[in-house]
Amino acid sequence: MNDSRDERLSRIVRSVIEPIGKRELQRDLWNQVVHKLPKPAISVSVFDWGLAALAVILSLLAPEAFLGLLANL
Amino acid sequence: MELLERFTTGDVEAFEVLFQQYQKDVFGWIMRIVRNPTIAEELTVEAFWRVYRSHARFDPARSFGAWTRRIATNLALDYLKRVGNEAEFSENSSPESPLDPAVQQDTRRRIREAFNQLPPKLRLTAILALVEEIPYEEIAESLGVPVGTVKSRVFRATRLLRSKLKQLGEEL
Repeated sequence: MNDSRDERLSRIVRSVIEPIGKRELQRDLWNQVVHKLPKPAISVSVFDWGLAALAVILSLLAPEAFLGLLANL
Repeated sequence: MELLERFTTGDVEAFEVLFQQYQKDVFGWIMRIVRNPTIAEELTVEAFWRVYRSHARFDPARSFGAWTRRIATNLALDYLKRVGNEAEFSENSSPESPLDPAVQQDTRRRIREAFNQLPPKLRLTAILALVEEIPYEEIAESLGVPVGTVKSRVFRATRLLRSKLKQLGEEL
């Protein structure tokens, strides 16, 4: 392969197709990336589940007391 | 724990720090290949998503930048394969690199056409080597191939370009 012919072809290609060079990013893309990341699973402790169950039982057995409790929250 | 080690455990805060350090470099690299800012932004986001997804496979003793660039290069190559010959190369209008007056308008169109018809792997290598003038070593690292493979692809690309131009009636 003739080097001078290669150099000529490269030069012509560069004169036809614009080199991009170092192009600056115009904005931060983090928000778009973070949107694709897996969401952390919401973990509910056993204590929270117990509290919720107690509230349901209380609302069934003694609705007045439950409403009173809600009013005082 | 070091930043890269934290990243390998899936630490999102460590990933964000790395993302902020490397997003411009990755965007700039992809931009040189796909030559469209909107597509380059999309592929940058996709590249970093893949980087995060592969966090457990990353070796903190190696270069994060080089690893990320390789993932980005593969994505850009997939893009070139997907769009086939539809990727357009904008004409050089930069005042710093004026058009060669000896090259006629019709010849320029034919060169762009011939470039578009190169197989994606050769096109990617030719863009980086011939148009962007990036050293072969850097191209090889980003593609994960030996320097000899890059040289061979550039050689095949120039040979194909000449042959296509010859078919189009141009002898260079």
